[in-house]
Amino acid sequence: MNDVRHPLLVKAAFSIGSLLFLFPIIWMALSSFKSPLDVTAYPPTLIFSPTLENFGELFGRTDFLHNTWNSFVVASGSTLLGLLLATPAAFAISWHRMSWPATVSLFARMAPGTLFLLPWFIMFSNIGLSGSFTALILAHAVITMPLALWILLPYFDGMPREVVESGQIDGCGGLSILVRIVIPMIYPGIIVATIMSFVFSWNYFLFALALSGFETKTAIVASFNFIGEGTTNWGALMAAATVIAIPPLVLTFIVQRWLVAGLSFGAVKG
Amino acid sequence: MKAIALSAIMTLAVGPVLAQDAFDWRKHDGQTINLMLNNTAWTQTLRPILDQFTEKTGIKLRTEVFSEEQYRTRLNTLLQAKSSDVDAFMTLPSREGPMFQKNGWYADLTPFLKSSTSPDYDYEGISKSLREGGVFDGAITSIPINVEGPLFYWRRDVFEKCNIQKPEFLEDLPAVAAKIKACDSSIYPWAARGLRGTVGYPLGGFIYNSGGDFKTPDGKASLCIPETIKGLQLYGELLREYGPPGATNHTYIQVIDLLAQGRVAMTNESSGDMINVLKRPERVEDIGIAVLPKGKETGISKPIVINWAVSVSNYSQKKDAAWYFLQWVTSKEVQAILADGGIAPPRASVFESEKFAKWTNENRPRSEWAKAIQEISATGSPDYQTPSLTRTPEARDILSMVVQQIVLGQADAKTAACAVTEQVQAIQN
Amino acid sequence: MQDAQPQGQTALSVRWMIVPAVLMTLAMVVFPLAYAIRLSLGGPGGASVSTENFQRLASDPVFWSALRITFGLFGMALVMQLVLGTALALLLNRYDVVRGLVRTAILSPFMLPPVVVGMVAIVVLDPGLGAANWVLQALGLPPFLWLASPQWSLLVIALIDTWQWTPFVALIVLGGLQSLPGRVYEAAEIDGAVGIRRFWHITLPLLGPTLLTAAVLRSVDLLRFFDVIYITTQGGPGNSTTTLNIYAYKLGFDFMDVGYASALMIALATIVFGSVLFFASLRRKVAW
Repeated sequence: MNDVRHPLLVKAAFSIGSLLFLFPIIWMALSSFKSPLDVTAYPPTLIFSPTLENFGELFGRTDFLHNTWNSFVVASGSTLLGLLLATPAAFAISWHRMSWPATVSLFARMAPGTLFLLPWFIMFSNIGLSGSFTALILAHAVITMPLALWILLPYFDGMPREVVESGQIDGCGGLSILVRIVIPMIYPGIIVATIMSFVFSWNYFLFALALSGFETKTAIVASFNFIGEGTTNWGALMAAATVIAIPPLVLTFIVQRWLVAGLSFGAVKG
Repeated sequence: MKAIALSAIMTLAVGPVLAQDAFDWRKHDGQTINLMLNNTAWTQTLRPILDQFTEKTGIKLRTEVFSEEQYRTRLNTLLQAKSSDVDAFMTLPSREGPMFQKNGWYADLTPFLKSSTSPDYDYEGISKSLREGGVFDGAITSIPINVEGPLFYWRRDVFEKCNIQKPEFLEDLPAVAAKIKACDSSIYPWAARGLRGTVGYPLGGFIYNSGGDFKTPDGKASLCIPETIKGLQLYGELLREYGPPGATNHTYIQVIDLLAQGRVAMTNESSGDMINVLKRPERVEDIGIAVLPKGKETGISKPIVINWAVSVSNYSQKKDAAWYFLQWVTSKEVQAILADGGIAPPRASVFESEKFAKWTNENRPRSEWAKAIQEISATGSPDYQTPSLTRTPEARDILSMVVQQIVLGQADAKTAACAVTEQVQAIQN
Repeated sequence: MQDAQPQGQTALSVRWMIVPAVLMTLAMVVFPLAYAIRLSLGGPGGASVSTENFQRLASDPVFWSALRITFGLFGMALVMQLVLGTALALLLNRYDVVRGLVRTAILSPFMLPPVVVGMVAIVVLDPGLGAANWVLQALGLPPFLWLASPQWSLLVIALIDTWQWTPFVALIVLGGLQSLPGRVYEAAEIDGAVGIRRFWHITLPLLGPTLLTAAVLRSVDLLRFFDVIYITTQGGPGNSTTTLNIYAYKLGFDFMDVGYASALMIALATIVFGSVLFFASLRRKVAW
């Protein structure tokens, strides 16, 4: 599909379109450089003298850097755990054409998050894990695992059975077929699943609000500090929001080039 | 002989023990307590001086600050789970006092007050009416940390320009707003809260000053009272005709933003935000602060006045140490420091002190503010929804819905107010 | 997976691979669910077992309104997101030249925490204070109430969600597009099917499973819609944006009516479960 006649025109159209599309994000990022009182000024100030005071407040006077690191630990941990559990499961579900396990795995995402807050808190407190990274990672894995599973399923479904069977002929067991043959073939799916899981976990605040302790508070929970009676520090809030948005964006940028057209099993089918 | 000797020995023995009972700020040196605070103006003013507590007592503080909604979610989760993770926390007795007490979440401070308090603490020095707000069935459950209430903020310069006098009576407000609208189209004549759950606070004064109440003379919860309906109508129409668009989504955040930016001429908003309005230098010159105008026919001026407070969790394992924090933060010295940050102290001694007087006299809005707060402390009431012992948030929600209907023009005041009688009586317990 | 010719050897069995995932789910979900059920059956008294809370639910007008609003929001948002998401995926697939920064940028809205989106929305969409109406006025259009309008606030919420999640759907559909078997297209071209007909009769049906995956993943979130409403309207004006989840939160955390809130949460979980089952069964039908 490379017969584009006017690549420059297309690029221009997309660039303009995406700028409009991104207006809220641009607004957010710009606001983080405005002084707090200017953020809600009307008419909106397009030209203003930028200031770094919000970031100074963020990293200097609060624990935000530490919180960002915590978010990173929790998101990575839960993504890893989610993928470890979901990948074999997706393989099994697809191969044996089962349907119920996929639905079961979504159980945790069917009930409102608030349903879990109190029972989980009690549960983790009782085994002494209250406020620990373990508790947060497990709670967030409940989000990432079904997500990864459902994203991976179509990729497994789209793989021809011959490939697996040829692996069997070679004498490989299920696990090694999965790791050595299947995964390399569907790696774009793994990549998409990883990005999505990381982002969902990174952005989720409800579980962290209840389950995190002093040392493990995540960035997004910390950003609520800036809303308050008497003064909503919009500047610092937008700065926090901008900082929070950066890692997922960077991650996407790095991996998006692997989402290229033409996957390898097009070749197998011929 | 032996008896005398024995009793002498006993006295000698007991003597030092009695002396040991003398108050020691450093009794819990080395301990750590967990503090949970709602991000109000008080909290923001307090944070920079929290290390002073640790210096004085050796008790380390682990402080968590959240905005109000998140604060409630987290606090409720911890208390419901009977967790020992929180030792001291902020609370709003007028909203949740009876509810928390019923759930057994507050620790009774009476024994601590008696035996574990610094001699110059002066519990009685805290305003009686505020103190009592935290006492349930003889148990002292919280100590007040501030006094606040909605005040009438108005733009002197706009009034001057439009040749209008400051409204003397509540019922004059619509006429004044109309004049401002005709005279200056670039400014909203009025702004006030309309967001669900938040309306009661600025609305209460309107109802009381119109001669209304949130319950019938025989004590039953109701909004279907002629004078109450008058007050509701006044508030709703003012917002509908003269308020900014989108008022039904506005809480103090937007109202104060508008006021500080100079885009609104009058409002009835929290005294706690005075400092933030005055952050803009122009406002220092042109803002006037007063108590909400009294009712014309009734002559009543009964504004809303509330206070935040601090409590010790009943599940805390360090109640005594937590009590040390409470008494420090509500002591005369700390309140005097906080007063410099615009936090109205609940202690008359601090309020009337020279230092505070100096601070409030630094500019006109401040002195007007101090006067207004003194007045509302004397004449005000903390009840701004139909009475309910443990279901106050629901009552406030119902009230907000009624007001929203009036503001949106979906129903007239009488219909809306009387339609909820059954509801509000069902939750009155 | 596609069928090959039946082989004569023993089939590969990897059923055990689902065990870890299922175990983890059950471990994390069973206790909370049991806890919630116990609370919901506890009745206002606390000790006795009764279905009082569920009966109360059935006769609660706010519940029914919340149900309508939840499904309304769900329907509007899902349709918009599936349609626009597919369109976006087709565009991205076709125009390879669009890569790098532009592609990242287009995919970025769902990277934002919904809470942040809500906060940006409060300011930008405020009828008096926000940039949105300023833009409208600059274009000569009348100002709009956005989230303050009782009639339109739900649609505005749906639009905000669509802005945010269309790229997510596009990403999933993009993956699906790229795994479509090449030979089917070759065969179709030989038959002369091109353009819209090709899309409608070939691509779309083949995208069935992918679209249903996207539908399931969006449904579980749309039916439990919470974050943006929580930050912006708190369910108002009136009850016009009170979804089931918002109502449950208010009951449980504001009004402290935990028994009733638990009953509502269980009802909501059941509704979501039903929807997932529905989509999952559809998926089996369109699988190829």
